[in-house]
Amino acid sequence: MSKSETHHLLNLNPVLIKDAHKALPEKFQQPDGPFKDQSNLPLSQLIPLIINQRGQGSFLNISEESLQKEIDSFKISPDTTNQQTQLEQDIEFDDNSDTYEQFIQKREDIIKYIKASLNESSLSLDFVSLLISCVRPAAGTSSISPHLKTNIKIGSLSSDRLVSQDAHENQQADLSNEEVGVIARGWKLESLEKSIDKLDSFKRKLSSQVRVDGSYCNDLIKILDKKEVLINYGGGSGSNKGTGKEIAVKFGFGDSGSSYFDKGIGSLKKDVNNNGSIFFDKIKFRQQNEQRNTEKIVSIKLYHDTELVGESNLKDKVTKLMNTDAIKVVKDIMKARFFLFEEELFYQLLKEATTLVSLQVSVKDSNQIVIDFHDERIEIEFTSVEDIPAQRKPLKLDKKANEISSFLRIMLCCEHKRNLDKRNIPPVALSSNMARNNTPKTSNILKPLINHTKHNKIIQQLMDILISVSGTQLSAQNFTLEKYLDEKASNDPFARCFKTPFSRLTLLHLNLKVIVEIASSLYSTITVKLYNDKEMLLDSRFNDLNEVEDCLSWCLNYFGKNTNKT
Amino acid sequence: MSLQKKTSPLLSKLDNNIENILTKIQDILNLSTITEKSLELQTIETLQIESNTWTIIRLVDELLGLTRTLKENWILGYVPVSNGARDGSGGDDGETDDVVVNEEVDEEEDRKNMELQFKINRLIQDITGLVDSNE
Repeated sequence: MSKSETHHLLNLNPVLIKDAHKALPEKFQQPDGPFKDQSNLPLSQLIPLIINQRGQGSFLNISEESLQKEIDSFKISPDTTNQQTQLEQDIEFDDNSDTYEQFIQKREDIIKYIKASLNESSLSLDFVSLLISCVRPAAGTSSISPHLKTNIKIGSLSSDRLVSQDAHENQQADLSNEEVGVIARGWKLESLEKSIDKLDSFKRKLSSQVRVDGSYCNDLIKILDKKEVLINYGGGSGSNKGTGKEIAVKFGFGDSGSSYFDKGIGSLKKDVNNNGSIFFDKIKFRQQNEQRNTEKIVSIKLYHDTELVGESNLKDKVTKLMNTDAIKVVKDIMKARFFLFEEELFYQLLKEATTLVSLQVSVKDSNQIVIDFHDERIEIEFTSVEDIPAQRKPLKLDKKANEISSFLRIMLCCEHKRNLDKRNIPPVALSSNMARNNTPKTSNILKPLINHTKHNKIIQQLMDILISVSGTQLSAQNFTLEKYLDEKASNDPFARCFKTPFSRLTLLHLNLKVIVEIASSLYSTITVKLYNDKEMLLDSRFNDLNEVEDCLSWCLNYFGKNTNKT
Repeated sequence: MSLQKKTSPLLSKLDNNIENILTKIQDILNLSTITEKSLELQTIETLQIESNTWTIIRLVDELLGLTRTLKENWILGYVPVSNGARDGSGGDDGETDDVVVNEEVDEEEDRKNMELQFKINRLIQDITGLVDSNE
């Protein structure tokens, strides 16, 4: 490879080549060597040379003292001058040993070698880069020369190491059949022992699992004996996520016609730590947060004016529930069902109460419903079980409060039953108008209680009015009270609850017959009819008791007198 | 029919697994012999022994799963019978019996409804009535 070719091929950095001789001692850096007579140089070259030789101390600020100092400093350091003279002598010696032509020749040689070595190193760098570029292209291409990069494909050079396998083959061939047998026997014995260990540990695991399964199954059967409904709940929640199917118990009222959002499903899980005994885990639905205390019950308080006269007592019921003779899981399920019912009851009551503002029903703090009957007040409260005192002194209307609380619960059951019956009716084809009118119906739990209470109060007040206007006591001879008149014989046990109460009071006064009819829905409508022996004297309708009183007192006075005279 | 549909895969799985276990045990015994085999083959066979052991364990585990499925089906397929329900044994005697029984049931239901109605009406009277609050 000629020099020019390498230059062309490798495209060596010209700076590198140009400055290559700078590594030589300073003297040789002069293009024509030190032996050219300096005085022959043109002035433009000579002056920079002198300045250069002068070094740091320029000729600008030169003075007599500074020159003296310089001369002194040469004198002070004789070592350096010695060295200098030694060097000069060496050079002189060299000069003496070689001729000028020889020296030039050597210099040329040295420069040639240096260039060659540079070239070689560049070539080897290219080689290594190309080799690396096969494995790590980025590292290879960064150091490869541009010429190679354009002419040769990156990664075209590769290497691998080959190891002779002769040694191995020879070794194995040496083993005799017998030796192979011994080795194999050892291996197989070892693996058989391992297998035995595995089977043994698996046996222990299996028997414990069977025990766990057995006790879980027994518990499930105990739950089944309590007539609980078990279902396959595919959700898998919380820590048990991903197990797919699990057995759950349906303790809620979803299948009984309840439309409450909490359908009451609890999964039955194996307690692996505790020998597989079963435990009950209520499945949370949306809207429910963890902190919610579910152990709350609906309690009734009766007030007369401001005095507490009756309070429902559910504590007994709860303690009875807690002390039933059953295993823990069954007890947990029963408890969950009980409290779910209470929760739904209050939820439905609240929902209904908000629609009954016109009947003096108000909601306080979202856990208290107050029904105001002027002189009497019913408070329905949703209190947690812990807040109920264990012992309290009995009040005279406790029985009534208990009855009211029972009534509310029965009415919720009735609601459920009606929902269920509705589901059994085959659906009718709806016109588009009917379909739109699909608002959820509020329940009907409080309304019968309020309606009937109000109705009875009005009857009482009317009786008082009749006494005052007629001036006589009411007795069986002159007075009859007929209640629930428009009630037809019906198969529905709850017929009375859903009918507006309608009653008739009949008073015989002198020769007059006074009939007062009351129909109460949201408001009571009072119809007053007055007859004498022959004809009807009055038939008018009122909404206000005072008007009734005024009317009756006038009528009785007027007609009563008249008939007396005639 | 549906019972057969459900049980036949279970039964076949049971048979299959037991058969497989037996085959694997036999395999292990066969593999344990050391006659006239090269060293490479022996190495592979030792590994096969262990792998067969694992297979046996897996198959037995599947059998356990099978028992679980059986229990689950049994428990979930169980329908609780309420105390008042009649026995289904009289079904073969014809429809007349059913009609009579139905009538009886209806009468019983009516009677219960009446009783309930009476009780509820009384309850309403009690909780809304004047008598109590006056007393």
